[in-house]
Amino acid sequence: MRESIPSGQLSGNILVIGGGIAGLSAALEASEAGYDVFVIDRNPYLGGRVAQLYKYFPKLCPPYCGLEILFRRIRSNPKIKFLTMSEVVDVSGSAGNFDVTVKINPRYVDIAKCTACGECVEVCPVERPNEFNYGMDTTKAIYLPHDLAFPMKYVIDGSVCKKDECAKCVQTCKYDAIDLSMEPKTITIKAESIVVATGWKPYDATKLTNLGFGKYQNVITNVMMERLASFNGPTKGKIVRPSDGKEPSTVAFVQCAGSRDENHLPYCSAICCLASMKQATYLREQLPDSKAYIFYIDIRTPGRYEDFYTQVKEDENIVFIKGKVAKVEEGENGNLIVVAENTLTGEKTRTEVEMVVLATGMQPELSDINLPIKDLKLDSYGFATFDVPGIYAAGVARGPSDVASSVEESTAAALKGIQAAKR
Amino acid sequence: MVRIEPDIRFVKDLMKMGGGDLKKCFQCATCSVICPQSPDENPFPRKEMIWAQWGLKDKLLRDPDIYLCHQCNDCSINCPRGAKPGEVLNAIRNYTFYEYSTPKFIGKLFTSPAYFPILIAIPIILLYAFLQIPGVLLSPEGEHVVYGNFINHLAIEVAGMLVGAYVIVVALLSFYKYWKAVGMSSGPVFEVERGVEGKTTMVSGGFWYEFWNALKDILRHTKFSECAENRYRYLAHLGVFYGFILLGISTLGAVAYMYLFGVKELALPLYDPVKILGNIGFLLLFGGMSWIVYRRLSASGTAGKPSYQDWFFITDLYLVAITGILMEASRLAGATDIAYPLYLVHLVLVFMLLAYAPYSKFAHLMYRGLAYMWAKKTGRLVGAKEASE
Repeated sequence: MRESIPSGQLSGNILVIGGGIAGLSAALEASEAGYDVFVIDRNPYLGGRVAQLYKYFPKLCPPYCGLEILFRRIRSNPKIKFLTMSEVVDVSGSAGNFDVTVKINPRYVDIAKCTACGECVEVCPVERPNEFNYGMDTTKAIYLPHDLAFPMKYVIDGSVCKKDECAKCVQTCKYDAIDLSMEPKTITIKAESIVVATGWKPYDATKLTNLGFGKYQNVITNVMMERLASFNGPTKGKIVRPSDGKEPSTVAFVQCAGSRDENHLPYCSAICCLASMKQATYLREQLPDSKAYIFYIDIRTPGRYEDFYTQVKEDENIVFIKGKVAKVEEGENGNLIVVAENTLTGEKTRTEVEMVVLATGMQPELSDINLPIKDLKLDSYGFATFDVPGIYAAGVARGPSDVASSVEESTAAALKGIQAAKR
Repeated sequence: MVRIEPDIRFVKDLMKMGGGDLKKCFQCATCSVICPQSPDENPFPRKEMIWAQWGLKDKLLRDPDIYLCHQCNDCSINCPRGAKPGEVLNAIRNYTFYEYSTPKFIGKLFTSPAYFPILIAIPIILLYAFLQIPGVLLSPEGEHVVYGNFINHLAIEVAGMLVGAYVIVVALLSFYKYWKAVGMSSGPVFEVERGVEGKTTMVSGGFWYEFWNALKDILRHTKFSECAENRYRYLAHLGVFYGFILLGISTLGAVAYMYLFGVKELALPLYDPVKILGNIGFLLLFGGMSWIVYRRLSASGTAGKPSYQDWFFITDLYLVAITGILMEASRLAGATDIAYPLYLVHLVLVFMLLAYAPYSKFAHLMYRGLAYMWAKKTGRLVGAKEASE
């Protein structure tokens, strides 16, 4: 079933919180086993953080390889229902009998009517930072979340739209799909079990005061680098530095930017080493004369990912330097000087580069969003710890992990959810 | 092939002497980069951290870099592991006080709070014995407090000189041991080419040249002023340093009054230049010490947790200053029943400060001074600016 805005009380077997790759996987596994599943997501689209990547492990394919298959399975499966722009505001009851109150925020666009023709955008006078591209460009107040958004429907950012004062889009829309008077709605969903797949967000790099993010334009984060490299990103896939649009001939990747650091995220975020190596290959493929420096404490490439490390190391223009960057200084012409001690030689190195990519870690959304499930136990970092009857966490909500392990965990969570629903 | 000989006992000692978190270090080298004082080549304190973990006692105790550290604590604040390199280097310095002390069994008494009763008993016993000598203890009369009427000034001076002579002898022996250890007589010599086209080649100019350069840095507190996170240390230490020097000068002034100008009554009036100097010295010392104690105790912990050796020295110096000023106040107030006992306490504390100087944290003056000279000799502390001068 497609998304529609329901009213009153709904019921299903399993409710999945979070429509990223973990939540979607759990929902599909359960629904394809014959259970009724609800997926709710805060964003106006499904796909979560994976949708924002350029390529993802293990096969280094574009995210829509995997996501598109999931979306097709959703489309062809009447047992799965999803709600975007929705948040859980209350959960009561226990395993086998949960009542979940969900607040649906107004999209101001009728999903059933919008054809994504895009004419509304032409007339909209208001611009807003595009959070899908981590603020590196803007969209209009009415916008398509991204090129391959699912559902492929427009949405209005209610916090900036001038509503009735303007209403130009309403007049322009041939399908009468825009309704500026939409209000938030609250519904209740009955469920027998809950899968928590709330995922992660990149650690706030402005807190890393010694690394210059927010101070120097050409210091970006790894998630921003994914957007830069993506064909539907702010630069249409061209890797250029923010200050002057120049193609960077030298880029420093700063590992453990906030991870493994008790002043920030005390744990290893598990994916950043691979992400930086992957991004070094983006750079080297697109700009063959470029050079990448990867500054690290320890390179962590568990299991078969070691092969990728070996492969990347073969490129002599990807230089690995053992030593954490603890200082980024401003150089000339927007360049940056990264300072580290090469602990293998005992020399302090000052490397001038044209762009710096901070490998910021994964912070669990659960550490922030205060999910109203009182039985859910979090560890001191905000990851879900032990399962409680009827409530199962999957993906990065449980701990930092790559896509492949998130999907495997989701399958496990789906089975747990089914067992609880069966009782 | 490098043979590593770990000294486990040494690691444990360092952990007891203030480096309790040293094993948390995972060698990321944030410390070496963030340190405002560390040179580019073989920077500290990352290498010291792994030497400490491995128990490489010989390497660490011969490494003058530990004295180029002024515990600004930028490293400890930014350390991702809470390994507190600033405190570990302080612990290594504490260990050098013991390692190079002469005789070593006295140095041992400063390594653990367990020996504290002995350290306090020594001056009390000595003072008691001293006062038994006929003619030392006098019986003061009258309403005015005159310390010279309580204990014979000459006796105090003779005793002071004996203590001073002892201190100088053992300090020189310790200084020499450290001199040998860091390789002052055999190590590399810094050469710098001066002039535009390298016309003159300047080789480090021997003991006095290095001594003078090191002294300039000490007097200016050049290295201290580079601290970033704890800038207070520069000013606080400067206050303590010059406060101490002013008090020393005023002491010499008082001695000069007695023997050069024949002043018998040493209770100098407040407007006397020597007294003014002494009181300014007190204010600087007291202000600096208070600042240090306040910051060291403050809850944020950014100034670093003091080790036992730090506390021993800080407390003693602080109490010397306090008892000193209270003596002056009780003299002015004519409170004889307070003033004289206070004088005895003050003497014990001063003894602990001076006689223990070569063993306690006070010894950092000579070891750090030597490390400065070594750094001047090898060019380690010479920045680009200095080399181009």
